[in-house]
Amino acid sequence: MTSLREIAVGSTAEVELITGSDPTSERLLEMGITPGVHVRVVGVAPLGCPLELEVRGYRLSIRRSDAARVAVFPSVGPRSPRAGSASLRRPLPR
Amino acid sequence: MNVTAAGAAEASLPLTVALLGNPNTGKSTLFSALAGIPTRVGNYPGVTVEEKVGRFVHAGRPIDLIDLPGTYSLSPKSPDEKVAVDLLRGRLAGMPAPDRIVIVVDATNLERNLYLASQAIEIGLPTVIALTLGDAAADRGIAVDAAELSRRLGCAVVPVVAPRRQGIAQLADAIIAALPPRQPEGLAAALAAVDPAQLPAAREAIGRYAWIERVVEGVVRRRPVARSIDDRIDAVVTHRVWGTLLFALTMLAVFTSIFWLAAPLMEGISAGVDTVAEVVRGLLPEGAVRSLVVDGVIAGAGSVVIFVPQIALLFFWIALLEGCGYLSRAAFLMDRLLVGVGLSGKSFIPLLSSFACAIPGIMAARTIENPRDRLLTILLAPLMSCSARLPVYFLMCGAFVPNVPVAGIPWLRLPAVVLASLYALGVVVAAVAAFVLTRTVFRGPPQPFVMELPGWRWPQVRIVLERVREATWSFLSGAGTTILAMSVVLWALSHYPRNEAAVEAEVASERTSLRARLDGEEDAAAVADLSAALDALDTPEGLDAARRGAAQRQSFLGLTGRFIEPVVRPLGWDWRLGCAAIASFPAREVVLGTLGVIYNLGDVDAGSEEGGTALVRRLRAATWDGSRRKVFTLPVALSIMVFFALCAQCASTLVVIWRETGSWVWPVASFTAMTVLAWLGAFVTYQLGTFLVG
Repeated sequence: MTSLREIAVGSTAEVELITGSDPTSERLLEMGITPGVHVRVVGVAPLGCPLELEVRGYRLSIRRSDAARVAVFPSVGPRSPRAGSASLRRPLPR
Repeated sequence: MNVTAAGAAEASLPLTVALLGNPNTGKSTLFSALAGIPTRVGNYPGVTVEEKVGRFVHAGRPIDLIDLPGTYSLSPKSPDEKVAVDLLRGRLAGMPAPDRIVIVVDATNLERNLYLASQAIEIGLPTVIALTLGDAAADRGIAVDAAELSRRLGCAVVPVVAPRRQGIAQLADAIIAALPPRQPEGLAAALAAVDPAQLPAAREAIGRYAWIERVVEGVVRRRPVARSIDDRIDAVVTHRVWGTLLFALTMLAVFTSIFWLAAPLMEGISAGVDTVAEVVRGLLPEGAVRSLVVDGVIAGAGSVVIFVPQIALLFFWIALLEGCGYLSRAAFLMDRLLVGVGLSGKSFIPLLSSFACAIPGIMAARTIENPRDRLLTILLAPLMSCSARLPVYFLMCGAFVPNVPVAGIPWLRLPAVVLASLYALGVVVAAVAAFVLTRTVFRGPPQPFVMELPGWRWPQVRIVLERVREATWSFLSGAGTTILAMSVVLWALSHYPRNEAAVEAEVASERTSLRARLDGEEDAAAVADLSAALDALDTPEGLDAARRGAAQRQSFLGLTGRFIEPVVRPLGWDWRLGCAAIASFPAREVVLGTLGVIYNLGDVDAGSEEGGTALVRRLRAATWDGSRRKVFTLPVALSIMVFFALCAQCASTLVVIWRETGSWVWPVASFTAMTVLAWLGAFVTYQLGTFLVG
């Protein structure tokens, strides 16, 4: 299983599922990290944690330990558009 | 009563309208655009969540707008969010469900905003959606079809540009006209269609987002933008080198303004208070009433107002950084540093500010949503060495720490090393305390740290000013009144009982003891000091200072100092130092003034060269009662500094902790724990110092 934590900066991955059923996993889901959505890893804080993500057209930050619970289908590639409702997807740079 | 009269009566009743929305959606801007300055700010019953209500009149109808705490969903994760949900459902004690809901929806971030909106629509109250940040969306090439969105959601959608007041009147019209929404088309079906194997919380999110994706399809049009502004700004701001540099410069600016920029303002306030005190002193006859008014009430009010510049400046910066989106980036950059001790990056600015003063620092903890992190930050803030401790450090370092190089490095002087160590001591003790507390008292399931990094935008001047006004006012009206009352009580404790005969007797016995010591003294310097002290008793100022010193030593506060002498003895302190420590409780910065009074100098300005030198001379000459052994030695000076670095001898800080946590438990616990820590620190320092220095 690949987790979001292993995705390289600049790459996009499709979410498979969120493991666990505590407030953190619930909050991740509510913030739009649901199965099938594409998440881009925008950057990492200079001290190595947390991660900056782009999902559903906005930015959010989660810790590496929490990113480990987001199972993803590896590397959709840096500029692959999302199938289906891509209406709000921001064009990916470069 | 006929039908028309009943209708008219209903029309004049205020309509209660709840303003709901995600954080960072321009909700505060919309609140001020609709209702102006809030007419009521307080706390919801039983919780420390701020309640903000503003009344305005539209089309002859009074409207009470309730600003709910920002929330991401209706399944709350924090007390703030729980209040929002309970109020909407009419479950908050003493507060009926609102008549209308206005949901703030950010046009740049429609999908995630519709998550909360769709949950709120399902409540079934008459609902209006205010579509904000349309201008920011346009900049990003996003266009939202409000009419189509309204049709799909089953409730009115009004686009507004709150800072320019566009669409505000239409929104108010829509609020009055709002009807209960019909259930959004297809939502129930989408929720039912989710794989039943998923967990319930996941089913809710998966179903709702599946429905939202269909709703926004065709409602949102995107024009391709080469590379978004957010991308470019974020690339710099979170860059390893440039981001760190920018962060350091920003924090330097924040800290400089509350540490140095506030100083002249505080001096101005202090001078103003002194002027008022002098005028009043001239108007009232000498006696207890004059002393109460001048030394109790006016000085107490001064000690409250003195904090305003720092609070206002810090909240100006916080509002500015929050308004443009940098506040959460700062937390993002610093998170790693604080996660090790069990906190998050959001605690950085409150703790940094506490190096200037714990009071604005503790208030700044309001920006931390997570209640556990917020409480922990509030409790750690007073351990950061604030500027009020500096005069004590400077005086002790200057007078009793030898100015010698350390480790043979000529520019590294011992006083500077001691000073830096005191700052480090506070930080290290705070880190250890946080580490221990998060594993004991505050142990619990990990709290979600899922932080939105909002889009970059220009801060709104009105919102920034409103934030400054709100923070200042809440301090003055909340903590301020209690601090004032406490100052008056402490004034009474240091002025009573007042027994003129006992004071005169003490001054006389002091004269006798000085003479006796002078007769037996052979050391030339000591003879000069003793005869100077004797001569001073014959001048009117010297006599007055001696009387004031005696009166303070005989007051309840002084008696307590003598009473606790066995407790401070192991720290190397005599009872006068114990007195000074207790007397400094109203505010740490008065400790030097108190030492001045206790050592018969009268009111000294220890900050001035003359006053400082006089105080140092007096302290150096001080001996233990009935002996020639000096009170102040290097170990004693170090023990005093360590004690002040760790103690919670600041009534105002404790009052603010009470206000911000809504419970007396925390200030009491904090005071007890810090006093024990300070005592232990001072004890170890003195004993070790005595052992090493001899």
